[in-house]
Amino acid sequence: MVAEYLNKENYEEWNRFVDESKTGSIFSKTWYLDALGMNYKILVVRDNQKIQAGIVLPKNEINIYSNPMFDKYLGIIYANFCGDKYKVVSKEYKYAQILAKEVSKFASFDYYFHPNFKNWIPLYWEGFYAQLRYTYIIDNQKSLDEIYNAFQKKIIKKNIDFALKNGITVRKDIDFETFWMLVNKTYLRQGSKAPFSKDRIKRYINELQKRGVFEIFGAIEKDGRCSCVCGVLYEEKSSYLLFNGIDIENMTRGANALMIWESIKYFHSRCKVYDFEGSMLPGAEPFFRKFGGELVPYIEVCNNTFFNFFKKKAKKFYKKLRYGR
Amino acid sequence: MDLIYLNREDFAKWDEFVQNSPQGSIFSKSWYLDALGVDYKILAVTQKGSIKAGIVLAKNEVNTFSNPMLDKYLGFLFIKEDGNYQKQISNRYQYMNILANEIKDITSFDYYFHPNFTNWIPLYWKGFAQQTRYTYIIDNSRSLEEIESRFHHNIKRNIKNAIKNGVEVRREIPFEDLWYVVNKTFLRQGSKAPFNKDRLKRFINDLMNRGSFISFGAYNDRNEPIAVLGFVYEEKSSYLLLNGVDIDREIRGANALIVKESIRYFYNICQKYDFEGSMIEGIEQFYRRFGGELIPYYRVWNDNIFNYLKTIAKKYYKRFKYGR
Repeated sequence: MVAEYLNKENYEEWNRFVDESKTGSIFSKTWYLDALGMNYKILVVRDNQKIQAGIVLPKNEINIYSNPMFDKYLGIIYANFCGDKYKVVSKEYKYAQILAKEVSKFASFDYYFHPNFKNWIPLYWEGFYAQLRYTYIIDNQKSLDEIYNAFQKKIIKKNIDFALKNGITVRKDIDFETFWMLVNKTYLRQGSKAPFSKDRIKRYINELQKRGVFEIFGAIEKDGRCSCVCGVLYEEKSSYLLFNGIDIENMTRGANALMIWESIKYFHSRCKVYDFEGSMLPGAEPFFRKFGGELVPYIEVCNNTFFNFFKKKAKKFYKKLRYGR
Repeated sequence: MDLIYLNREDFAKWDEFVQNSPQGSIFSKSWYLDALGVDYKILAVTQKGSIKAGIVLAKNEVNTFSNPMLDKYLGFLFIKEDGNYQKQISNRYQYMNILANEIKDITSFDYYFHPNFTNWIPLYWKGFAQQTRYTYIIDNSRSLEEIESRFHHNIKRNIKNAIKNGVEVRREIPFEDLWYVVNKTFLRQGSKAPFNKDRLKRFINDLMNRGSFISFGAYNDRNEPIAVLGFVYEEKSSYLLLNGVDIDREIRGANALIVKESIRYFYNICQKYDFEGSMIEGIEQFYRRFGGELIPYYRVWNDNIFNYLKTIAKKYYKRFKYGR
């Protein structure tokens, strides 16, 4: 059994495979990658002509094998194997090792895997290195009352009440210019402009909205101004909070929390879970944590090379220099 | 809140804290570290005289701040707190920040943490790195029938073979038998045991005096040990620390048979049975087949060039020495 790269005519088969897999998500689908405008190839292992495992290998904005922006979970995707747990595990190990042997040729290999990918032992054996990261996820099997009750009282519930009392409303008909202005403003406040171009994001959001998988929410102040926005990507498996922009100087306290709460309510009956998409940032993590979601780990797997070691060091240094964190 | 290095007279208080902490295990207790004969200090966050969090900073055999041999889980321990979940988390973040500010100056810091330590975000913010490793753990709140029914069919078949071939299982075997087979296992893999015989003997004697070590052996009909196991244990868990097989005398299933008997032995004594890993290809498969749950635990280290080069050197040493 060997790994092979898929041709374009097999992409529909791949997208069905991603849909059915527990470790697959919208982020690995070809039309999503096309909307992002990234270069990518897809490596798979077949048995009896059926795809048993695979991985999307896009290059990111600086041309290395790593998640592009807004493509949160990639990594190895398995078919949903049947049989006893020993058979399932040994199949997963076998396919992961076949894929790993091929991708170990890429010195810059460094991807975030889906939270349902739990066991990286076979990749360890092939010389890879993995680090755990976290996101917060709300399980939509819970009732909205239960979800709300888990919110932290002082920061979230009280602030939501405050925003409501002060006439904040949440709307979904936010135009792209307002959305862009607030997202960009958030980056500017942190010390640099948004790390993506306006035109690219516009095209990307247009594509996703045409497919009905992206929603923008905005909090509207009493004077009609929009003071914060969030952009949520979604599929039946999950919604993913990808963008959050706020005008902190001109925002009523609690407007952002209220808007996120409204988005949680909106997706409650549409998706199985609500994924806050991280973050590991000291400024963002405490806020997301207070919505009471479950802390869910996901794995970053990278080729254990000098290239990746120095890349991480350089990234850290750059962030410290640029954003002071 | 204060950050202090504990004095010897506070060690009894520390051991009690370890006992009650969800991340605490025998491996962080001062008398266990004394039995190992390693250098260590204990850093604790205290409030009004009570310990809220802490870490054992033990030095290993090559004098770096890392787990000594036979001291599997160290890392941060927190006080067990009840009540509001959000409050508990923010308390933990606070304790971790205080501890991390002190230990970030320890260049060689590199420890395996307890499986109940499940959130390293504050350490990430302080410039540490993490890697997930795994062990297999059997939960003894299941019935023994259920536990044994989960064994892989090859394990069951091999155990039957060992019994049919007259393999005898003994508990509390002589130290010489344990040492002989463990050392032979290392020799087979290309080097002698990475611990000294006298040191191991003293360590085991100390633990046996405290009733926290037991060995098992599988013997053939010539009264020769063919497979051995050594366990450290406490109420929370038993830990499989030593496992050796004499491949020249091996009877198929002898090792699996003593593992099964040890699972039965600890069933009523400990809450869990921890296989203590392993990430090594052949060993991982053997332990996996006893049906335990795959449980992650963290290695956390100071992310610097020293630890990076150490990791690379270790990898090449293992490849060169053991071919893995």
